[in-house]
Amino acid sequence: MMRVRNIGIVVATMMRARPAAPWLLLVPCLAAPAVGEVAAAPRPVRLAPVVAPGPSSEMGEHGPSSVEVAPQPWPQGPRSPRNANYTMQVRFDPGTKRLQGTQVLRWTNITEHPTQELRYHLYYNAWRNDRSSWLRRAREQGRGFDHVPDDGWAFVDVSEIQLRGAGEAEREDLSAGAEFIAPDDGNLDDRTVLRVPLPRPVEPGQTIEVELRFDAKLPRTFARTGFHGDYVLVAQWFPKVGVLRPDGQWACHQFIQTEFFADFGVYDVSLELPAAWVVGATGRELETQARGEATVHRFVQEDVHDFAWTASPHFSVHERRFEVEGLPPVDMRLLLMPDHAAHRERYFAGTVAALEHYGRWWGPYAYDHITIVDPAYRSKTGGMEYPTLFTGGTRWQSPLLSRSPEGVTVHEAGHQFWYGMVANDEFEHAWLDEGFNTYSTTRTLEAAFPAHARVERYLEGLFAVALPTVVPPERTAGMDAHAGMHSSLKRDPQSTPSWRTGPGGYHVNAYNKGAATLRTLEGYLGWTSFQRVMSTYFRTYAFSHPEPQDFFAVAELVSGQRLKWFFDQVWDDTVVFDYAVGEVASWREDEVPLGYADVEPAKGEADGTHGDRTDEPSWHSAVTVRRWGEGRFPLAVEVTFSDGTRKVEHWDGQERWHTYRYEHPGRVDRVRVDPGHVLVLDTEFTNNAWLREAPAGLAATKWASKWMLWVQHAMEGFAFFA
Amino acid sequence: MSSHETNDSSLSPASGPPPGSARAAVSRGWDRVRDAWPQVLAAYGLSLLLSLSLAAALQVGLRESLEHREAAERLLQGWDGLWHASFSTRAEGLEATFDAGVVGIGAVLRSLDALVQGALLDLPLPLVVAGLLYLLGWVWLGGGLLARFGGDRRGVITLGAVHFRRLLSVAAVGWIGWALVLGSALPMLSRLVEHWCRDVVDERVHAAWLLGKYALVWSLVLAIRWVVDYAKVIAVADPSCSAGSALREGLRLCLRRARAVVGIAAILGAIGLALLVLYSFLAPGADQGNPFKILVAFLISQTSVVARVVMRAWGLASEQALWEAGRGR
Repeated sequence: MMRVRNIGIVVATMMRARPAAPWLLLVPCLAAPAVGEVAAAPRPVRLAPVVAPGPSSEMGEHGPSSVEVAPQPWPQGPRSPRNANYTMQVRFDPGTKRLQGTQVLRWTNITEHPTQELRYHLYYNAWRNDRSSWLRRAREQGRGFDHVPDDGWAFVDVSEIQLRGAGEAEREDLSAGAEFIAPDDGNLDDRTVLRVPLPRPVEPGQTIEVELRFDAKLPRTFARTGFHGDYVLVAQWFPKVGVLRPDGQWACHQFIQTEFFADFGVYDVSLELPAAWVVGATGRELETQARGEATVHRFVQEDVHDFAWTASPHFSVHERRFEVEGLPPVDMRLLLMPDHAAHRERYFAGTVAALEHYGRWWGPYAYDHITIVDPAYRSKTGGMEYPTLFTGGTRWQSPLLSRSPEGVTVHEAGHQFWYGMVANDEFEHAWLDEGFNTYSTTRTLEAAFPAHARVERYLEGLFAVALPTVVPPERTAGMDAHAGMHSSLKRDPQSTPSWRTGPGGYHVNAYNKGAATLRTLEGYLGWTSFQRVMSTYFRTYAFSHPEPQDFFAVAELVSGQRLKWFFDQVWDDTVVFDYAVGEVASWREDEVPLGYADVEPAKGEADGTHGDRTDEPSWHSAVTVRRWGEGRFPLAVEVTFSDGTRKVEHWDGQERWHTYRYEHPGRVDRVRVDPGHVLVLDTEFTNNAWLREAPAGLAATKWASKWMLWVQHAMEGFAFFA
Repeated sequence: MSSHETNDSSLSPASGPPPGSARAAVSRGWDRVRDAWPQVLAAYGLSLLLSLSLAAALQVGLRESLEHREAAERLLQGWDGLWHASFSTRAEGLEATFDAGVVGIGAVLRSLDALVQGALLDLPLPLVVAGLLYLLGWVWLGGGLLARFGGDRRGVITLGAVHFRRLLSVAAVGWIGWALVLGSALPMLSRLVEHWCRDVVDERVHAAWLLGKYALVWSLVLAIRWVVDYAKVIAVADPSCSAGSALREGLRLCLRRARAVVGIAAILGAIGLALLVLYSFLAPGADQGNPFKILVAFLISQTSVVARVVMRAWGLASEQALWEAGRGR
């Protein structure tokens, strides 16, 4: 069963997650009558204002042809609860790859439950040694890490944890009671969660200040954080407080797999680095100060839930300003490695595409700056998102048609919206940001970078060649790799908490299925309605922590359609969808049946002359469509006859099969189930169409001949050694 | 003396490059290839024969997969990634090697990539078997062609049979050398390069190391190839010469005439590279939608195979010409 909470709870969650913002309007039963469990909710609903629907421009095959909405600007002042605020001073030693810092956390309990402890993430301890839960899970899943060099390990140690009082001298030591806990797997060797008991409960609404010192060693990039040569991408590096959920329980999982989750706040971070190193970080750089051979860079950012930074002496800095009518301007800062100098404008183009399309479709970017990091070659830090900063990634040789770096740039810039602003719990529901963002990425790429081709790499990936006549499928967002009964979609229900998914389940559920679910929903609702759903959800849950049920509720409410049947299948189950054309037959019948006839033959038929009849007898046709998968979805069935007539049937998709029968002047030439490819979740779209005369032989010959050429050249390779 | 030598005006001191030079050898080699077109094309015939049998098997698999499918239409117009995703999940053996990477120049570059990285034996078994048969075919035909270039007018198949055993022995020595270079030295160098480049942050630096690695490895591969080639030339020219003696003579020639040996390879390599670039412009893509266009695309693509066959024969003929020039013939 899908666990849809009623709207009352949804609203309560929203209101607990943050203080009421001025742009929250009371919208009673907005958009359309709600249905199902949602409709049963009697209370009015607080939602963000729905952006005005523009001119009715339903989606074409490749997305909206025009922009439908007028994005609402963000209000001035706090946009988030700002209940986890950090002030940190950190010194980085590039020789030892060590970080030494102090941290003051100003934390407010925004729940309705008191708590008598804090829980901190110490992510870097995931690579402290091979007994950590992260490395154990990696080994279980066949990702060996047996060759970690001596300088590859990492750690973060915390000391001098003190609860600050009103005066400078009023401090209570919390270190003695601090302990590592393993709430997820009980692994006592894991040190990624630190529990710090407090002397007194922190009551709802109360704020405390905790000061600590930490000493961390950067890993040789694990999970896209660490060092590679004289380049560092420092993420998940500081002791970070978990999230106290509205129910008073800590959401502070061990670092095993998945990504991250934290509360919003203000970050004020000073980084001391060698003077020659160029630095980029979450936030704006407010000041720099020389300190011997080092420079102290101070970055400040409000309303974010994480802080990452990068540095290298090799970066060159490039700046542009995003200015698009109707959207707030954004200063873009690109830190570029020297081997990717030729790709500078491509990084900016990707960022602009994301800011523009996401901004117009879902809602505007909420910050006035963004930092784009071109990661060092083979640093394994590419394609990662942090508030107001993200890493792209490309190769020295990257043909234009490869969409690299455009693709990863759009995706990671897009995470500023799905993750950065709408900050769901990635430990539990990674698909809410990865799936939403993958969907948005493919949409944006289709709109902004339609030219795309397969790119082949040779000589250990050094040289790249685009094959312009081979266009990869995009609409399916990777779903095309999951065919039939062996579908990866059967690995875990999407409702499985992300940190608990089995081998191979995380990626497919978080990225592919999430995106395909949205693409299917878009096709089902139509772009105008779906865009309204998405922008409402975005606006409503920006700067808070929504859950899947929140999205389901918004989708039903805004679209005015019952969607529980759909979410039950895609979210809380592992059914796969596979509709197909089954048997197709067309035949002609004589007026007199074969065999024993109960009627006299008409004049002429007995002697085979057909008398005076000049018209040809009709064709009888039977078209059977099948549902091979367990999933059920209403679909169109399009039948085309040899005389050009086309009939469209609407099949509810419930039965295992359904036969349509026709008597028509022409025979059936072509049958298509779901001709518009609405059900992108269909794991085997190839069997959705039947052609009486498909040019199978010619197509097979064409492609076999191309393959043959490769075989011949491979044989020439063998002949080199003759 | 071979009949074609009477036509070998390129050796004239007044009009052509100096006798015994790489240019003269290449020029003379081309004359010999030109005079033996049908025999050279026999090698192409072998390529066609072996690959057609494999392609026919693939064609059956593709056709079955496309029967009554809309994907057939899309594959005629271009590529259908959704169909291929479905096809590849069920594909085994030869079919598993089929994807769109063989389009255009991709077919050539992919095979060259496997050659350069010493990964030909990693191909699926049927392809390796076909490749090895073709290799043996070239040992056979190589002897026949060299004899033919040398003036023997018997059939190239018959001539190949005469020299096959000794040439096989010569080639076997080469195989040992190449196995050591590509099977041992290359992986070892790869590990070293990876170690040295562990902290490299600029892909161009890594690229330089990679190119250096392959330059070193392929210098060795080519050195072995030259010794083996000249040993074959010698073995064919002197039927009484054992494989061992031929290899010693071949090595001696390579050392004594290193400049010319390398020169021939450089000239032919440059021509081969030019042909590759030319073909990259001509290589048919995926967009042939009717039988005529498919046929034209096939014929254009086959010119690249013919070119490689001719280049190989030209190389042998040029090496033979160089050896003969050194003997004052």
